[in-house]
Amino acid sequence: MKHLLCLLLLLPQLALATVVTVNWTPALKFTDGTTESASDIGSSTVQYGTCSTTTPLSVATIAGTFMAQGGLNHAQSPDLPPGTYCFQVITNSLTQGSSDPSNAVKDVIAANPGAPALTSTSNQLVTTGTAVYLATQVPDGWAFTQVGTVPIGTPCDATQGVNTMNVVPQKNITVTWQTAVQPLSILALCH
Amino acid sequence: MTTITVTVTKATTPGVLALGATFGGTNVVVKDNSGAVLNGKILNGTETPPWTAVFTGTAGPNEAQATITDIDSKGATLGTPIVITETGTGGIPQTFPQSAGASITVV
Repeated sequence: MKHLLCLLLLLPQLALATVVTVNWTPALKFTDGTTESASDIGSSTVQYGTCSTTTPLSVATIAGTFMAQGGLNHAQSPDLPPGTYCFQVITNSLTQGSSDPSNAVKDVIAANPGAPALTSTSNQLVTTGTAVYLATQVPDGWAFTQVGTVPIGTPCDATQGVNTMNVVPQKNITVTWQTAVQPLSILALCH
Repeated sequence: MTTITVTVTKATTPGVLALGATFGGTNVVVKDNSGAVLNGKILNGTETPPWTAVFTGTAGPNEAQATITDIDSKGATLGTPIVITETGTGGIPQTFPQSAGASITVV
């Protein structure tokens, strides 16, 4: 009694990676209609390779296989280079031999983007804390009063500063003001 | 450690703002007895007691100093800042070898 493999689903996943996870639904039926117990499934073999040009889709040339042991209904491929692949599954019964291949499903593994060309580097001064200050003059120096916060790593202006602090340009950043005073120029400790 | 309390006195006659300007607060900055400039505080009158700022400083031989600056909502100075200095000898009284008397011997 040859058993029937009814593969309802074959969904390649992780299409952006080079490892493809294949899922399927075992028929749990033999070809004569009798029930196959899950414990009768010794393993499943996933075949992959080029796709047929005919309908229904099938693996035209098998490039490799990978296995799922026992009643597992999913398996992962080895690392595959970019390309178009078809996958199909065969159930291996412990008592009745192997099934016919399932329907096949196509998956395209996209090529990775090419490496960018590094042209230059620059040192960007950024805030090392969250506090931003108003600078005021006091006799013989400067003093600072916290007026708000910005995220750590906010760009600073390396060319403008007072004492150990640098100006934080407010364009394109969000300042969380803590006082009613929102100075046109704010400073922060930067590195 | 010292506690420095600055209470700002407000004039009975309010100042006049320039057209379009909004009062932001009164910025109080303190130089403690060690000479360190502490981070300032902006007062708006809702303090308890109103217009009072409390700072924690470090003791030292200098006299504490406070700079009070009224500022608008953009941080610009309104009027003229007030600088007040602690009267006395700072947080730590200074000493000197005081003479209390003498003896004389002739041989």
